[in-house]
Amino acid sequence: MGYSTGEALILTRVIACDNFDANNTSQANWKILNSGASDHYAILRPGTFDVEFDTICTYHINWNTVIEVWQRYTDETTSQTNLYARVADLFPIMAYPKLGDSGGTILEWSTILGGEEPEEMWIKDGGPAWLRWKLTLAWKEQGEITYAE
Amino acid sequence: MTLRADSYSTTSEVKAYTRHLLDGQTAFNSTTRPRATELEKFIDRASGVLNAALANVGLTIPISNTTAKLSCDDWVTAQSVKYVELTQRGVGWTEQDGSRINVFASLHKKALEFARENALGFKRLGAAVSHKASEGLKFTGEDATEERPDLDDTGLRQPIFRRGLFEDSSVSLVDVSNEEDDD
Repeated sequence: MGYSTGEALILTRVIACDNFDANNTSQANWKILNSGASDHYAILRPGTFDVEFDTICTYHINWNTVIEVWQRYTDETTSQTNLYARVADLFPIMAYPKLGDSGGTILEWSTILGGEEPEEMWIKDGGPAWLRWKLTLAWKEQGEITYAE
Repeated sequence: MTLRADSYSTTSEVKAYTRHLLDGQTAFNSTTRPRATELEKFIDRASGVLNAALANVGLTIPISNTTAKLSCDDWVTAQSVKYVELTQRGVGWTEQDGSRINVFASLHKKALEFARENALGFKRLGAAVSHKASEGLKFTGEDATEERPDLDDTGLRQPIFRRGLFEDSSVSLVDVSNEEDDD
C-alpha cells in the first residue's frame, strides 16, 4: 500500500468533512493557498513514522499524517474562531478507524492523535496573513515480509 | 456602482493579480476584502490621477487610442493591485520605515512621470491632443498686431504695449498715462 495510498484515503475523508472540498484540500501542495478558492485550507503531508514487528514475518508501520489547517487572517476575532471551527470540522474522521480502506491493509486504529499550538503565519511583507493549526493523524499499515536470504 | 466612463482598467484585470484574496468567491463582491465597490473606487481614483497627469502634458482625456489606452490600463491596473494588497491586514508593514505609505506617497509624481515619458509615444500613436506644446508660442505665427482683425474687439483683452507703439503718432504719452490712472 505505502504512505501515499494511505494519505489519499485520508484526503478522501477530509473532503467528506463539512466546509472542505476538492478545491481547498491538497497533498503537500501549498500553492493552493494562493488560489483564492477558499479562506481556509487543509494540506496533508507526511509526519514521522516507525516500524514495529508483530512476528518474525509480520510488522506494522505507525504512520503519522500531518493535517495543516490554514485559515486566512482577516481580523482579530472571526479568523481565530473560524480556525477552531474548521479544526472541529475534521474530527468526524475519527469515525473511520480504517480510513475507509476496504482492502484490510490499514489496521482499525486510525485516529487524530493531537495537535500543536496554533501559530500565526507571516509573509515577507508583513502580516499575520494566516493562522495555521497542525493536527497529527496516526494510522497503522500492516505488512508482511518474505525473506530473500 | 460601476466604473467611471473615463476610467482605465477593469475589476477583472485587477482580479487576475489578486485572485488569492477572493477567499472562495468568484469575483470581488460585498463579502470580499476589499469589496467590489471599494475596488471600483481604487480604479476610479488611480484613473483620475492619471488623467490629470495626461491633461498636464496636453493630451485629450480619457485616452481613446486603443494602443495608448492599453498602456494606461496597465498603469491603473498595477496601481489598483497595490491598493488591493494594502487592504490586507498588516501587509506592507516591513522593517523599512514608511514602507506602506510609500505606495501612496508618490502616486501623483509617478502618474506625471508616466504621462511625460509616454506623451510623445501617445501622440505618435494618434492620441488626441487638446493643448499642443506650441500653444504658448502661437502669437509668433500671427499677423503683426496692427494687422490683426480683432484689434478693436473690446471683448478681448488687448496688449498695452505692442510693436511700433512708440512710433505710432496716434498714441500720445498722455493717453498711456491715463490708462495707468484708470487702473
